[in-house]
Amino acid sequence: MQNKATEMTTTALASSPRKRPTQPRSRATVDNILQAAQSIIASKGYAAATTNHIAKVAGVSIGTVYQYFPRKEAIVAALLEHAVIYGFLPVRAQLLASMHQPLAESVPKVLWLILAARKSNPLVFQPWPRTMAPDDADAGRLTPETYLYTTVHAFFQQHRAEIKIDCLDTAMSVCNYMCVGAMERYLCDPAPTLSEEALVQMLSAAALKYLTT
Amino acid sequence: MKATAAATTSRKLPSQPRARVTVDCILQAAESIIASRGYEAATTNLIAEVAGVSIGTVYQYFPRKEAIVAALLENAVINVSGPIRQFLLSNMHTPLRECMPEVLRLILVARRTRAAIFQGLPRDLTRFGDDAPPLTPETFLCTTTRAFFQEHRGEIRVEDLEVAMNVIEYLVVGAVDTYLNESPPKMGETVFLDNLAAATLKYLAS
Repeated sequence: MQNKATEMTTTALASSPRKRPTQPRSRATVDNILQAAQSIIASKGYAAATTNHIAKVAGVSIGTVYQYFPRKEAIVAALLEHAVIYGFLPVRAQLLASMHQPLAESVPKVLWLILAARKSNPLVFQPWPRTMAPDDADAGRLTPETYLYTTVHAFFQQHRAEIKIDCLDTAMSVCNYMCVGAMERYLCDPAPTLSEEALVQMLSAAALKYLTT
Repeated sequence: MKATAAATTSRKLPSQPRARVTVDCILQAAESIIASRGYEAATTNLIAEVAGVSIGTVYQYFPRKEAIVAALLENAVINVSGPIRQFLLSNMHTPLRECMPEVLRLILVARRTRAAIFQGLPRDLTRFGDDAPPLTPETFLCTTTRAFFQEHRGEIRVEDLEVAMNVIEYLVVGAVDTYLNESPPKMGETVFLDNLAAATLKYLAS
């Protein structure tokens, strides 16, 4: 029990950045490191992204990499955080703008933006090696669901009158399972008979019927 | 494409009972390592060690790790598809409302039992050949599923049956995997299955 606790603390430490960049030049260095890591993972896969290789592609010394990140997992965690925050900004904006619009109008727009965000950040959603996720990284890892939780919750509360499901939390989770799960399956193996537009239209219909009838 | 096919094919097929036991040990060892430590940790050396056989024996049957994974995937797809196919075939004339909950439960059980295979493998490894669709229970069952949808045409309001089938597959398998991935789960299994059944029935029939 105690062992497990110690282990978890170590892991949490090991995947957080060592030093936060504050000067413009050091921020540029960190950006370089992150971009290098992203391009290596995208082209050659996670296993190829060693700290040595990342340093080389970023054009910095390995010492500089270690100054900011204690290990590879910390670089990946920072990458994920970036992708979630910047990728899902439009979704949050749409949710905020739709607080007083009927569900039938707003759900398709929100789902469309979620699909776009997931599509343009495949890195965030691919299955991660166990050393990153899920066990040790879950606690600290920022997912789109945790990032958007408060806004989605408010969105469901604003539409309480339209929603026939008693438990709002259940309704919210089930919609999340269905829509996000379906998009993920679709993106890894899109059916030729189903365009992205058709998928979003069908998922909107399914979510709306589930919620309001 | 030819190279990939050759590289993921087993080298020698086990025919004697003892050889079959050896292959089973290797496959079980690989699955348990993927389940507990992830795909990257499952090296042929570690697989041999956990299976209690020499690395030479592993290479006698499988030219490389990818071949072991391909055999595992094939096994898992065939195993989990059996009960689902059986149920679909014997419920061709049962109203959707009555049989849908059990179909969903069978899918949940299948995906949970073989989670290491269905969720833990890198996606590119589930395809054999560049243009081939991934080997999944959905693709393996598609003839039966299509027949099941056609038999229930009268109950289904979605105009294009093929679209309805695709959407239901994405929606159900996606929802089940997302639910199983969550720890701790936000709701009990019964509540989840009841809600998913309600959602699929409403989508198809209203």
